[in-house]
Amino acid sequence: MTTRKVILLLSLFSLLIPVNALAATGAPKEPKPPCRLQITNAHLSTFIFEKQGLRAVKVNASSICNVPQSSVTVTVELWKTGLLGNHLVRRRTFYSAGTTLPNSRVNNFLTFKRCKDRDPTQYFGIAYSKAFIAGRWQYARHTQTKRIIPLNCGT
Amino acid sequence: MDLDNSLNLSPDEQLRVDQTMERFWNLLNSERSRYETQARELIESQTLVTETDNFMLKYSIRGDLYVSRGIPKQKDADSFCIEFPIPDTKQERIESLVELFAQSEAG
Repeated sequence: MTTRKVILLLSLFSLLIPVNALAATGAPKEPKPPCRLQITNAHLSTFIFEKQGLRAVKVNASSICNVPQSSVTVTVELWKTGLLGNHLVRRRTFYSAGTTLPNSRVNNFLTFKRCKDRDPTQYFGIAYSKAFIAGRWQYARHTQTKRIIPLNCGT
Repeated sequence: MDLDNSLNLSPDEQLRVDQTMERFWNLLNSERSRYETQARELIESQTLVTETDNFMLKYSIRGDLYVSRGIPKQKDADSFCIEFPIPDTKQERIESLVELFAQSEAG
């Protein structure tokens, strides 16, 4: 890179930084969403393992709102990584009938697959949901768990 | 909606999950023979309907997925749907369906 190009790039950054800093501090904050979707990383089900010595890989998710929500649907997908792309292992959708009170959770805690052996495998989860809130449908984005977890669980 | 990666189950929630998982494992062992018969029926006819005390269970093949829908017998009760890709071999298909039947009946 020539000296002239480096100077040009530095000048551009110096112009951008104050604008971004202003945007970060001066912009009005977005209102906090009334609902949030919570999801765990993929994990081995400890209950089954401890009690019966059997193993399963599992992902949990739930939807919680600070306002009443009705007709809530929470979908959880369990995926594993592969050489030729990722593979869906399980998808479970839970449909909650009726209305859920503010700050009560709608859970989908039963998305799991039994381990057939102890082959190291990398898993992750995806969750999304929808609910009828204040007279309209609200959708939670299709979001992946933060980490891809290696587990000794072949499926 | 926001996404939050922390999720702690309350003692009641954990108990319900544990009870369902235990039912699943028990069904997997005690009903295996019936499930294997059901699996062959589903593979042959592409659809199957069974029921438990609380649910009508409708199994089907949709594209490359096995699908189970739990439709509550009681009005305004919760329902569920389980889906997963159809495995390659016949033995794997039977085994995966056995697991699906146990999972669906466990609730």
